[in-house]
Amino acid sequence: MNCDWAEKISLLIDGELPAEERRATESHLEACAACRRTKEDFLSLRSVVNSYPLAADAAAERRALENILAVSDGATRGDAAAAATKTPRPSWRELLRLPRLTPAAATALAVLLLSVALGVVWSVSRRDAGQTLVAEGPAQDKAPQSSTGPTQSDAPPPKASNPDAPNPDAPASDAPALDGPSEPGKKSAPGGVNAPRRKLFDVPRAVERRDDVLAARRTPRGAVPAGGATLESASRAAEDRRRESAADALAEFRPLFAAAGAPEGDESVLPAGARAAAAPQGDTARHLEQAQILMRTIRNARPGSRTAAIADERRRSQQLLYRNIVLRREAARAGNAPVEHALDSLEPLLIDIANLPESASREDVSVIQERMRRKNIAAVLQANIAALPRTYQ
Amino acid sequence: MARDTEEFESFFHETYPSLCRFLECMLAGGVRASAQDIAQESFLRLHKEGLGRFPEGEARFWLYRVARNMALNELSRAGVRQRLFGRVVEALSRRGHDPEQELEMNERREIVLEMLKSLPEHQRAALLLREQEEMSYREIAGVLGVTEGKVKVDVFRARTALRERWARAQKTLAAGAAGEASLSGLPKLVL
Repeated sequence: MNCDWAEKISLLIDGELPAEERRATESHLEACAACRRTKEDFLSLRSVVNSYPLAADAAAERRALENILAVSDGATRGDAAAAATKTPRPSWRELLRLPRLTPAAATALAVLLLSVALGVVWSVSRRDAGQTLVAEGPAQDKAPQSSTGPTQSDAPPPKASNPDAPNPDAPASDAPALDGPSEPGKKSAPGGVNAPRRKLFDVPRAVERRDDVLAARRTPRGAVPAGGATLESASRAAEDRRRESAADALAEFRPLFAAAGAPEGDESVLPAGARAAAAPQGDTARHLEQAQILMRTIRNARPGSRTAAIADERRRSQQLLYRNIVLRREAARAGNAPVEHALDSLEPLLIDIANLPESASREDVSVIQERMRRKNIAAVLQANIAALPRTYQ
Repeated sequence: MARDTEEFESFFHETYPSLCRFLECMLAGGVRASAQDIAQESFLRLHKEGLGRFPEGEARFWLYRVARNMALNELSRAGVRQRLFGRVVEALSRRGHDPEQELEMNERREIVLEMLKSLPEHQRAALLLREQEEMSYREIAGVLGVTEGKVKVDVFRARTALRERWARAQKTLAAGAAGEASLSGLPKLVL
């Protein structure tokens, strides 16, 4: 086989060959059996690659769309669930526990730094007149930087290219920013959907990476949380923030817990730090038990004859759904993959049950029952319930 | 607002299945849930960006670019435990399916994935975008952030490599009846 022709054949079947070359290649194909075979092979390979089935899971597709719209809607309306579970990315200033500067304070700081710089220059110039020019050079360079630094970081940074057009390179920065391999020659622009952030320090990078993942996981079925040593090495300040956020999230959902019948009193026996860390586990065990009961009821439901009972299940499912979101994110923060996965599997089912019509048809319920069987949700729940400690018992 | 949502939903239903397939092939052996997760996250980003901000037809390329970058990220992540756990759950969840149908689908998937797995990632991506998504070389270059010349070379090399691999596989399998059976559902190459 002539490789020159093979490459042209590849271009020919892709419709990428100029007219003249196409005619020449087609003429050659009429005369050359080997090249005709090459073309047949390439076309067969095409059909082999295309034989890979399209994702035909309509339920998963619907669920994904619901999740996307729910998350986006929650974000724009300041939905309680989204707001309670959203962890803002800590800025470098917060990580270093520096106070936020007002413009006036920033200007004063800049003037002070400028004075110090000039003082250094002046003293050096007195000591060695010959080096004055050398010393003034960097001082003049630094002065505008220090005067504008804090105020620049407050302002939204400019986009890498056209500000009106979405930046398609933005996610590319996520790949190398996480554990991934960097693509050679690919420009790395920070950010993603959010406006790009200036990278001022390397140290908080692990924290940023973690929060990128959490931000990306604002969906019920988000990416696999990044695990490993880089996250464990995140600063104590960031860890405190997460715990506070967890406690805030739980506090905000306290009325829901109460409505669902979860006792609260026992929490007071725990110290503050342990409460934030341990309460979700107790909540999770209880939550999974309640979900298990709900799943059993749905599994045994006979639609048509028990429409009132289904309505009750819908209400319970709505209550459990909010708690599920909070607890799943807690599990993700704690790196508890099995629990996170169990809650992740449970969530779409809760959404489906919560969205059942008032008088559910046999088909509506059987679709959910089938999905429960497929997910083997009963076994997943049971395994996690057995493994979790029960704070509230 | 309602119109935007309607437009987004229409685009979503049109693109989601093929994006999932692309991601499954890119991950080549990763758990299916990962492909769905990445697809969902890609669409979420698109929704946040706003579909209306993209020029006609560009959103699809942007989406594939985002998804491919996230797939690269996923491929490199050392989340072995997660993947193992996902596989166990997937295996458990398969119990309710028709076993024969499941077996056939899995065989088909496995054969394609095994072939694709042998390719370098950039060749795999270029070939999938060409064959499955029917993008032009210019469009593929835009998605992958490379030149059209590189796309041309990558697609050709991918085809050549797969052709050779397929020929070797056929020779090996021709020796055993089991091999014949496993490939019976796919078109055969004439070599």
